[in-house]
Amino acid sequence: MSYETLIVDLAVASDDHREGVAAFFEKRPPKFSGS
Amino acid sequence: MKIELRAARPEDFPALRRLMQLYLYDFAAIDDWSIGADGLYGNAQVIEGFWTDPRMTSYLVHVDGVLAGFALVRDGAYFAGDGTRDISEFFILRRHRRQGIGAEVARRMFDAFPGKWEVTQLTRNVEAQTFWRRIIGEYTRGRYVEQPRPDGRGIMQRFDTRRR
Repeated sequence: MSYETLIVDLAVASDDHREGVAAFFEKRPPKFSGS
Repeated sequence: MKIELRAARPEDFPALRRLMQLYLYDFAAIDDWSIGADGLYGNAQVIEGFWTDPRMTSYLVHVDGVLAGFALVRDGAYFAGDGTRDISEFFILRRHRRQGIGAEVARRMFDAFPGKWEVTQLTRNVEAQTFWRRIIGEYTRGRYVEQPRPDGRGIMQRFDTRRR
């Protein structure tokens, strides 16, 4: 895995984590972008 | 055992922020979240919104003078909307669980705001479902309705504390 790919994957995972928590608070299904 | 429930003041917000992280840590195991790369759960802006949202009231729970948890009450329930309150978030630290503290806090909140209430739980949070069914069942003497959440992610109980 390239460094760039790793960074993108980490960003997607981070976005998905934030989305998971936001969906929990807003009482709705999460809209994940990846991972 | 002395249980104190009081509305949070601005100087309490740092403690609430930290408690919120512990709350989210518990839920991360239930709802399958990873932690952020910054070592924090959730979006700080969303969390800060709880303390500034005029519909939301945050309460700190102290037991014998020691911080033990929080409860966030929202005026205008997520699903029922205006005219109904909901317990948006509710957290008792593990050390203080299974001692009747959460039940007492819930009863005091229901007493403080007579009227319509909505309480929701995730499907995966079986422990919370058992807790709230028991508390609400006892408080309302069984006069509550349980139904699936509109978002399909859990269940909710609805009741009116004036009709029990």
